[in-house]
Amino acid sequence: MRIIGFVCEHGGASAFRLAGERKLELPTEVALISLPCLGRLDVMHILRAFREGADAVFVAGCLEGNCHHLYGNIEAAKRVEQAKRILEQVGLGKERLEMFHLSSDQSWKAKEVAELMLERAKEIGESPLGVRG
Amino acid sequence: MSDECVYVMVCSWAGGERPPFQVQELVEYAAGLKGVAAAFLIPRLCKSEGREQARALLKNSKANRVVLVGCHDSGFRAEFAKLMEGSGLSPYGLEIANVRELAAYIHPPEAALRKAKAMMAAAVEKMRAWNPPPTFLEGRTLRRVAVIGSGLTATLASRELVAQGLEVEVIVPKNQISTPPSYIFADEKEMKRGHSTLKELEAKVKVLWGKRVIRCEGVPGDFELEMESAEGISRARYGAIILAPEPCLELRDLEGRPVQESRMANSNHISIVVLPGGRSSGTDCSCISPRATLFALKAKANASNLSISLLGRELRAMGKMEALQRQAQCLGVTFYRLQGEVHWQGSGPYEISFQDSLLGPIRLKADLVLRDSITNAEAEELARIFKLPLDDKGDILRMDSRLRPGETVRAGILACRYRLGNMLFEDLEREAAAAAARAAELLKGNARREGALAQVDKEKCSACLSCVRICPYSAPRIGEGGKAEVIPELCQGCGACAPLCPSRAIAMHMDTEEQIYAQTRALLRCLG
Repeated sequence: MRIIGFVCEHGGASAFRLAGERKLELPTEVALISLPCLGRLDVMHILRAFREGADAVFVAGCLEGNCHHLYGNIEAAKRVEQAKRILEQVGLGKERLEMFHLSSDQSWKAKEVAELMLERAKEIGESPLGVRG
Repeated sequence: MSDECVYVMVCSWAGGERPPFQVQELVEYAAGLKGVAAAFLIPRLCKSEGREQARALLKNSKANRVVLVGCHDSGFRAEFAKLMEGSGLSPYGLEIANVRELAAYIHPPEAALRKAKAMMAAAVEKMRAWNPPPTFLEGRTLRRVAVIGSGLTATLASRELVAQGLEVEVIVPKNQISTPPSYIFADEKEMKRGHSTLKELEAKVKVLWGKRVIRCEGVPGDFELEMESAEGISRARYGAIILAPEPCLELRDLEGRPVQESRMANSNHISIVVLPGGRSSGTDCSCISPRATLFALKAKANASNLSISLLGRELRAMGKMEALQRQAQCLGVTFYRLQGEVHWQGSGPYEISFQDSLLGPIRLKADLVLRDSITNAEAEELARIFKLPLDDKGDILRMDSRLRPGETVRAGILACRYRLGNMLFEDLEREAAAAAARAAELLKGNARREGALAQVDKEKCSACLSCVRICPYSAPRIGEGGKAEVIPELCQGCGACAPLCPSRAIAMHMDTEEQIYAQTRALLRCLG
């Protein structure tokens, strides 16, 4: 399984790093791409991840109302909804993509997010696009 | 990018204290990656020894971008970027792969090594796709600050600015600075500080009386204010601006008139009821503030024939206030614990009725009813002119009172709190001084116009205003020629504008489309 997580510097990446500092065990199938703010996220970034072989993608950023750049996380949530519709239409299934909000100290939530996406990916199965390294 | 020359530096602690893999393996892997000119193992990059080695390696090399492999330390990045600059590289050509937190600490050994390699491959690909951002001109940094307001906060902020060595101009919309009432000071020392500031002010700073700001343009380090007064329109330039709306210091009666201390000293038996704050009658969130307690204490000490009752859901008596509250009680001030709303009838004398949470229904007669805090239009007007949002209490929104005191959403424009609420004079003083100190910090050094920012390709721009509308920092604007342009001083590089542009005219200097794509590809290939 291969899972990509788009995270923002302030919320998502910090939470995952804190999980690391706490030495929580996280699924090895997950790798992160850090953005300055989730506002940077484009639908194309998500779709390209699937095209390159991701079986699932998650987007994790600051809690609603707490975005360091005010509302980048809310913009990202809209992109995720748009991407979900596209994934559904092309037959990949919207379950392969999910949006999460967490704060930089919620290391346990980072672990939960990663594990939840792995569960989802296992349930749906590998991406039908069949792109292999 | 044909002239890319990536240096990879692996910190000896990239695996932590008990590395699950050989750090040397990471170095060998990096050396074999496409585009990597050289890979090194450096001892503890966070210590001076490691940094010196890094500096020496970079100084006489062809390297023009660096990937560090190690742990996460939020302060480290800025420091290392400076080191790179000192060695002749762009400080933006740096990527840090946190293999310690995101691989070594969280996975079993074999998987940790695989993940670390994947992260390094992605980081290298990201830097291979990087282009140095254009450097802009050096901006102007005026070491002159405008303080706008007609009250005590303006003078407190000015005092701190003078102490910081800056030139200060105070723009006062009224024709005088209002004198604070005696009951906002908890003791003699505070009163002395409050009053001495007012005297010092005139000697050390320039005061522009009776001027009202109508427009603010420019960037941090170089703002232009347009002001109107009886004499007409004038303009002036400043490096930073502090908005210090007049705090509503006096208790006011139900018609909004400030209570006259002298009037009370001379009255025969009058009873006063002080209602808690809030915009309308007796609504929630209302405590008996330190100011109300101090007012009652001083009024009672001056004229014992006054009967004073304070109403509130809770009593705010922190630190020295606790002793003063006790004193007030001993002098006969009555404190009621309010539950629900307060109702009153009449127009002086009044009949007050409310519920005390222990005593049940209470009825009081009062000659004078005072309210603890009233909104002040000065803050709203300043917010409108400077295009700043208000917070949910009606004050100018400030970003973070601890990490970024006084900062508003606009860089270079700071604001002091005006709602006294449950604060004491020393809190007002501290907030004003903090905003002033922050302004001084922002004006240290010279403003430079560069960074990992957004840039508009004017050929592609269709002037749809999407970027102008979305930006939290008001950085994009429609320039001459009718196309959008991003003001470098204001852009924070968050990237919210880029995906929204329907013409794909906005490129970022870092985290570009190619870089994100390169990382995606590298990670998925290595995740296997």
